[in-house]
Amino acid sequence: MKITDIHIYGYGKLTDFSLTDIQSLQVIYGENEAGKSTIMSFIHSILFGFPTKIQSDLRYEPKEGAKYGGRLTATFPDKGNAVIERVKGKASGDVSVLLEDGTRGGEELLSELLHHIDKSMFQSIFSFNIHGLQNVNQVKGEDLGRYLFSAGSLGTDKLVTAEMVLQKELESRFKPNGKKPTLNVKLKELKQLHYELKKAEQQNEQYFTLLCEKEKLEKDIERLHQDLMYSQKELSRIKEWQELSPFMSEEQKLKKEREQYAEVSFPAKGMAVLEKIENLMDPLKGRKASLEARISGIEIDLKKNQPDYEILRSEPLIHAALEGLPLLDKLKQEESELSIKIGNLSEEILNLQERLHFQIEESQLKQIDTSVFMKDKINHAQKRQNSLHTKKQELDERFNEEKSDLEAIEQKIAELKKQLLTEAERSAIKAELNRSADRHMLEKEWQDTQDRLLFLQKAEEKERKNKEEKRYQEKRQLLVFGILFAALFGWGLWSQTWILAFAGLFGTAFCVFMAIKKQPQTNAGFIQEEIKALAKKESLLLEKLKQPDNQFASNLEAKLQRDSQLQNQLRHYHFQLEQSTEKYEKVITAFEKWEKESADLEEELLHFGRQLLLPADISKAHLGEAFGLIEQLKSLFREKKYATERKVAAEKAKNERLHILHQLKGLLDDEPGNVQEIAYQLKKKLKEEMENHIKLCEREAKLNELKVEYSTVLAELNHYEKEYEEQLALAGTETADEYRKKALAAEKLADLDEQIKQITKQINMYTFSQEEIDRYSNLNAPEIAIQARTEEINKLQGKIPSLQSELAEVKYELHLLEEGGTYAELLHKFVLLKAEFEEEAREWAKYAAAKDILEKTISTFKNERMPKMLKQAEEFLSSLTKGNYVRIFPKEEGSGFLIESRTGAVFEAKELSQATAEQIYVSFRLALALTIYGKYPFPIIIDDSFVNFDHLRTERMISLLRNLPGRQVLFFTCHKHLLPYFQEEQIQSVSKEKLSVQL
Amino acid sequence: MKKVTFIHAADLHLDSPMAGLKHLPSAIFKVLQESTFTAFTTIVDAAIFHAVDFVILAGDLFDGEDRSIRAQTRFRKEMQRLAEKGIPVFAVHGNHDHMEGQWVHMPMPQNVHVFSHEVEVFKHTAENGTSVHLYGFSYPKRHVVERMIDQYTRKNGADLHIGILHGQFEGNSDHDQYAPFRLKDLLGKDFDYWALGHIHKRESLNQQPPIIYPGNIQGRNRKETGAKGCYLVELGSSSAKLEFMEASAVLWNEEQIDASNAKSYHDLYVLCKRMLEDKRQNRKGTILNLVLNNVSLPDHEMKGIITGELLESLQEDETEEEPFVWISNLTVNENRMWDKEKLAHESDFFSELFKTADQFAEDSGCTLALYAHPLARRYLGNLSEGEKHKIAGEAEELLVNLLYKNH
Repeated sequence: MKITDIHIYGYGKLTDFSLTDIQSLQVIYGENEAGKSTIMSFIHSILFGFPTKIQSDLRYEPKEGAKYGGRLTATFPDKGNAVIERVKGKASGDVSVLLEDGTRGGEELLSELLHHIDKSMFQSIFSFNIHGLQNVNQVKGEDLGRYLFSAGSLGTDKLVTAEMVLQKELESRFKPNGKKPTLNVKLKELKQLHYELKKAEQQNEQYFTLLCEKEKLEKDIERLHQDLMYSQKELSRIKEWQELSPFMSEEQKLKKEREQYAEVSFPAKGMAVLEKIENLMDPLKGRKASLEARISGIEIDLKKNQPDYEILRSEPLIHAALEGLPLLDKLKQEESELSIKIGNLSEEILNLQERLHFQIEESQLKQIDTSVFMKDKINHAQKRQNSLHTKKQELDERFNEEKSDLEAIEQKIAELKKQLLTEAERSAIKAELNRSADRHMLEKEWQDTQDRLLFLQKAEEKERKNKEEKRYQEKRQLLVFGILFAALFGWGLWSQTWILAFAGLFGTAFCVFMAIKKQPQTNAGFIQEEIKALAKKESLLLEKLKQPDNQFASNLEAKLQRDSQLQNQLRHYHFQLEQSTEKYEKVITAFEKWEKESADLEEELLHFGRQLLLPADISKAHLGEAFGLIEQLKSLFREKKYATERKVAAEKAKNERLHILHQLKGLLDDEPGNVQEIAYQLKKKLKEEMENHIKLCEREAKLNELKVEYSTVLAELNHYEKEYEEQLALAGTETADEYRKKALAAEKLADLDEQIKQITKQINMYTFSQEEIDRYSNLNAPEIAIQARTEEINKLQGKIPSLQSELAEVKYELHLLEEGGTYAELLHKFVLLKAEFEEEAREWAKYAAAKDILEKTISTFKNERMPKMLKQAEEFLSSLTKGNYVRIFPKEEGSGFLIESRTGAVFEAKELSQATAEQIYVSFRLALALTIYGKYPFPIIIDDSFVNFDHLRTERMISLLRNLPGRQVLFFTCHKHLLPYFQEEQIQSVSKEKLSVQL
Repeated sequence: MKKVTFIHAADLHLDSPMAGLKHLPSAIFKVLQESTFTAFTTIVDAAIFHAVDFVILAGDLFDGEDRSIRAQTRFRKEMQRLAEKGIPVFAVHGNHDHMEGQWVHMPMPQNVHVFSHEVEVFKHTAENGTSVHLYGFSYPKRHVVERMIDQYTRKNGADLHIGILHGQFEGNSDHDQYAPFRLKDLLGKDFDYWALGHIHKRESLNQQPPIIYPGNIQGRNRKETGAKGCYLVELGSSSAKLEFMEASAVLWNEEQIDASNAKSYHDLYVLCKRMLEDKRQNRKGTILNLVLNNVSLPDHEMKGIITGELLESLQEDETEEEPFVWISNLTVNENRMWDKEKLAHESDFFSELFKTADQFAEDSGCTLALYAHPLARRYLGNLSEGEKHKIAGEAEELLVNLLYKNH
């Protein structure tokens, strides 16, 4: 790559600055602050981007607002010429690249052109300055090493970083003797787990031992259980025996006692049977005696009391007479009451007959029709009579009304006729009215004429004014022209131009003439004539109007109107009169009709009166009332007849009752007085006899009863006596005493039997077999046997729990082994962890391999490249020092280099002179750029170095630079004395003028 | 028609520990720990349900040195269940549960017939009168590399002949060569069915007569993916009807997700979550090995994935889920930002680096200190050449990521 042109648009202090035709070896000279550093920075910035704000480098943004950026033209060996332009844009600027073949591109294309090298790399390899030279003795082997690997897209610090990262990763995973790294931790866990697993595995082998143990234990426990059960049974048996033995001896005793009574024979329950029979016989004997006494008592009573049978036979008659007594009283009372009532009724009948004012027989009365039908007819006739009466009153009123109306209307008509106008008067008034209508027309015409007159007068006025105005204007114009023409004339005279003078004179004259000329009078005459005609017409009309005016025209009209109204009214009253007359006629007709109806009614009433046997006057006026009284009378008669009948019946019944009573009186012993007494005596006597009769019957029944009972008692007594005898015979005894003794002996025997039975029952409850009984009978001291057994049981019981817990343990262990418990758990865990460990180990291996590969690569690189570079550096150094120093080699230990002189002496860099050290540095740098970075054809940029060189060394240095093959060198300097070493075209100055070469 | 029905299972590996699971919640761990038993119980249930004539177990009933007493007692319990139904069991021991082991041998019920260490024949007559000759042998020791197939000889006197063989089909190099055989060896015996065991992947070597590896009954690590179980066989003299019955209690699965469309951490999370819910439709607990391909997220979004946050949040709720879908492993394959060829061309250093990495597998004996560590070595297998290559590749990628990436 060779830079050929630079064009700075604006960068730092440089604005629109160009360097053209840059040579392969180009010196750029400038005094201090001329802008050399700026140009260098510019080249870097164009190629690698403007420094961003976060970077420490200066941005060189122009202060005066010129366009930031610029353009650089360079030739690339494979791509030809390329123009690279970078201007302000995003942080590092916007770049555009234009290749020779027209290809355009941005950062990517540029990066490709620059072989992906970055700025820091570029600076560290291809660009160096005085500070680097002066610090040459601090250059370390590692630094060089680093330069060795910094190539292409590989950044300078990347290797170190990468190595560190790998180391860290490895160490975090595994250290051969570490404890913390994950793999170490896992390994430890794994080891522990493995150990535990092995242990668990061994337990598996115990499985069968455990199985045998289990079986044995189970058998032992079984046996113990059996022993225990036997002992327990035995113990309880002995205890039972202990309880049983007293019963056994008791039994023996009882059996012995029984033997005494062995021969006693006695009927079963004989004593009880005997006593029972005796008990039954005693009360029977008592009863027999009492019955006999009672029978004789009753027989005596019967003979004493016999009743009176006659009275008893007439019992019904007496009862009837007694019951009739209250009725008798009642009949007497009724009789007297009815007599009073009949008297009252007779009086009332008389009263009514008086009111009717005529005598009437009862037989006649019965024939009179007082049916409801008759009553209805009479009521109806009465009502009609009433309504006819009312109707007559109404008709009287109407008649009076109609009559007065008629009279009023007739009077009014007479009045109106007086007021009306005659026909002649009416026609006169009408003629007068026609005349007053014409006058209105005249008034209107006069008004019109006046209006027109006024209008014409105004028009005339206006016309006149217009004309005056016009004339005034014309006059002014003429005056102006006149003056002009006068002037013209004057001029003509003065200048002796006659034509002009004449023209002016003529014009003036014309103007004067025009001004003087009168205005013709035209249409004003016509208007005035018109006015005159109108004035005349007006006066004519006025005169007409002034003719005498009829002032009463309106009065007349009113009069006429009133008259026609009156006529209308009159017509109306005539109509009313007709109507009234008609109504009056109608009332009179109604009167006639009423009279006829009245006569009919009277006839009818008389007819009813005859039927009721009433005199005519009563039937005409009070028919209804009379009918009511007759009706009442009729009912009274009927009532009186009924009362008389009842009185007769009551008398008859009373007499019958009295007769019976007197008949019964004969039965009584003593002579009673009145009826009441007789009745009482009868009643008393009857009651006594009845009671006597009842008592007699009762006694007879009782006697029979007692007799029957007596015979029963006798029979029973016989039966028991027989049984008693039998019982005694059965026991083989003669007497009751003997019998009783024998009974006592039998009782004792039964008692013994019962006791023996009880004991045997209790003995049987213990279910001891005969064999056992024999066995235990020999046992002398059961207490001792019990104690021995109890001890044995305790011993056995103590053994079982321990065996059982042992068995449980064995079972649990077996279960654990069968379920896999710890072993399977551990196994699964172990395998998992192992797999995990393997995987992580693989991961570790990746990092380890990476580190290994990196280290190997670096070492290969070092071992192969370094010598090549050092050889080149030695050549340069030798050439620069004219063969004084011939070899450079890295120190065996530590950092830095050693330099060998021609004589074979070996120096460190710091032991050499400043200039020599600088030469070594330059040699290194150039060697580095040319060998390791030979692939990258970038220009070498040197900033003001070689100041410490003397002229010989300078010359050599420059010749070295000049002879670098295929490599552009840009040399910036501020030292004028260096310039002569170069050709003129190789020097460009940054200041305004190009400096000439001065030798 | 002479025929029998039977169940053919192999490689029960009862109580086999599960490998390759980190931070498993105890609830899921329990399910997993029980899974081999659950699967076997399922098979026994099926045998009872279908009222089969007998059950064949073709070796590796237990998991070798790790044969726990629990495994045996549980096995015996299942055998007793079959005994109650009068179903005989014909079993051989394989390389894992060979007869030489130190373990406790438990007495088995009468219905269990275990073949001895030499090939022998059992005769079984089914209820319908069909008689069957069953041939087999048990491993007397762990390594039986003889061609045991040569000792199998057809013995006349039965309607059907079934060979039981726990061994290696030649040509399959994944396993050690135990009792190897070739297909034509088996066909030459003129048997009606070959009940094989040893290979954990289900495989049918031949249709007629059927030669079957039923695979193991429950996946035990992430390589043993998919449904596992046994075969229900209805075998006649000229026909065979085979039906695979799934038995595994927990499924192992691998799932690849193309994450090239995910623009953020959240997108990726949602993508994974959706996949989890899809998997849950299996109605079985699932252990999932999840691979995210073509992940290209900005670095700050990637952070959550690298630190394991994504995995944790995906695992978070699974303890409560029924059935669970547990992601045991999350592999993230990022879109490579760099091209090896280009990089090597651009930089001498990288070309040197790649060269070194390629050689790593050959000469890295001493660098992996952990694998030489006296204690660690006991728990780590030796790295094979292939594994070393793989490690080198991963290391190389790691290095480039460290060195090349600018940010």
